[in-house]
Amino acid sequence: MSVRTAIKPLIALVILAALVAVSIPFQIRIDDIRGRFRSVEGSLYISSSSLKKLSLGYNELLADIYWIRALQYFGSKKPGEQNPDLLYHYFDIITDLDPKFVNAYRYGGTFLAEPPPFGLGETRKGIDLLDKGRRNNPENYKLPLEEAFIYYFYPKDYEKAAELFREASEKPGISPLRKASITGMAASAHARGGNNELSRKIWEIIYETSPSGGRREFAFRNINEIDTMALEDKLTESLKEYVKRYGRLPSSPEDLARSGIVKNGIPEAPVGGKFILAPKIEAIKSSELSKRKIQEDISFLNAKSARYKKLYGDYPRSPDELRQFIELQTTADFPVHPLGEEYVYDPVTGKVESSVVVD
Amino acid sequence: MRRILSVAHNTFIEAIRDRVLYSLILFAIIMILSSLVFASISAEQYNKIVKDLGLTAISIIGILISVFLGIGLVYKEVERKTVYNIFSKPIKRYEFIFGKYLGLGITLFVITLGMALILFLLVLLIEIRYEGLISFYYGGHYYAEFFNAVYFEYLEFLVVIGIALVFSSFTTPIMSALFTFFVIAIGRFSSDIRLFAEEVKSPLTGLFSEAVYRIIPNLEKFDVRSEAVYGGVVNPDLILYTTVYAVIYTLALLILATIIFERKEFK
Repeated sequence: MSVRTAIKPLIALVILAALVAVSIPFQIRIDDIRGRFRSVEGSLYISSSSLKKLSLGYNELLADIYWIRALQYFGSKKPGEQNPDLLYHYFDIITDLDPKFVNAYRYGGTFLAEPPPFGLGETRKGIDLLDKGRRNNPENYKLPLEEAFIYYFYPKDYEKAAELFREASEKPGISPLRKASITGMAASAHARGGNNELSRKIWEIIYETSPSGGRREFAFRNINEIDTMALEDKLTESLKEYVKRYGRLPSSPEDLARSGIVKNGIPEAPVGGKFILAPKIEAIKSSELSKRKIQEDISFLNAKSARYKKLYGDYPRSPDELRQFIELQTTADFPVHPLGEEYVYDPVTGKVESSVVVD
Repeated sequence: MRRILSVAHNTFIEAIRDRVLYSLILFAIIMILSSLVFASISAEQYNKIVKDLGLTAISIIGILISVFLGIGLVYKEVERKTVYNIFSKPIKRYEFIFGKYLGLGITLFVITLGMALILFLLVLLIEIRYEGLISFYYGGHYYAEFFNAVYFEYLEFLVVIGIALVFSSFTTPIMSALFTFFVIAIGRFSSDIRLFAEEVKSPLTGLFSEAVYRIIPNLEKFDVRSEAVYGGVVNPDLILYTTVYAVIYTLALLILATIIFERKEFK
């Protein structure tokens, strides 16, 4: 064997080593562009990482197969036969295999959280799944929005719901109209949770920044409502002072004003109407807000009564039956009369009326 | 170069006459079309299912073609003794290897393009039909990302042909296929090796794992199928660096195959 023949493979091997070495900076650059290693997080979960290995890198396809399996399984079972742990496990695996599959978090989270008969009533598990979705898809607005609704309707944690509505509204790429609409939801959630001050600030921002005339008008109405509620609270404080001083209720807000406890007389209500005395709850209320609330409650109760008839062939036989139906079939509570009065139910017509009429 | 092209041309002609090729292509088309059935029971995730299943079909079939045709590239010529005819002409062994590789590479290009176009038509059909739903769920159509995903899959095939060619130059087709599939499996989980290198306490084992990670083909880098569904970063830099990586790695494999083939004696 000549020297030349012996050297040839050596040179080739050197070239080989050099090429491998040259490829390393490219690999590093690719890693930098793509951001760390995509299977690192997943490989920390034993079950999912085993599945990933089985899939030989075709994770998305395996996620699709699990997705269809989950749909088939839960579509073929009656509500009582469905296993929430299994559903959570399915969606956990699907989203480990394909962390960007936003609809899997949305459908899975909502179905788990919603109370029976539409869902499984596993609110915590639903929230966990949506939390995971938010971590894996930090730029998606639909996941915090969906989770906000769950907090709002089921555990009724309005502050958390408001926080999530705000998170959703701050995501990049959403249209100004949708942004204004979701911000409005945050404001409403704050108000519902009793945080009127924050709610008012948010409505102010919407009023000042919204491109839509209708949206601005809506914001303005909400600001007026919050201001009226603040006045209600202030006047009710004065009413309590009056009761403490005289040992009885005043005959009217004007009577309260005449006592001098309220400085500068009874103010105008920003929403219109006047302030009235609600003796049963010892409070001063806005006639306009009370009227709106009573109308809203009566519409809701009448709709539920009609729904009952559609399902069972007749109207509820008593107010208690209507109350039970509402509490079991919807996410809402039986409404409380804003003036502390009663909602009178007629089982013959299925209609509800207020025991007092507000002008 | 002319001799390399001549070998490539013959390999291409031979490959497209192979019956295995047609049955695999038929299987791919059935898989792609069957995605419509799965999409219909997917709760409105039409484009995801069609793209996932279609791109996976292209990838699996492409890899199978790369392996099964790749392992026979050299072995068949030796077995049929046609290699004696070839080397009686002024063709160098490296030209033979490079020509064979190029021929199969071109075959794969034609097949991949054909399968991609069929799938793209299907995707287009679905996306036009469910325009509103897809925009709402996925925020866009990502056609460029779709073709990037196919291109990255093709780059992977090129590397796999190289791996099959290396094994085919010194062992039997069965063993070559087995070894190639092992390397593909390891290459598909290269980031696990990297993770191990990061987690391990011993610096020596860490260094060894890091070295293994750098040497094995990082086939994970050729997977941007997810971006074809959800959109995402497949920027020109990523395309460039991944292409260069595939070319360098393939070149290394071809040199390795040539070294082995050069040492082979034909009696």
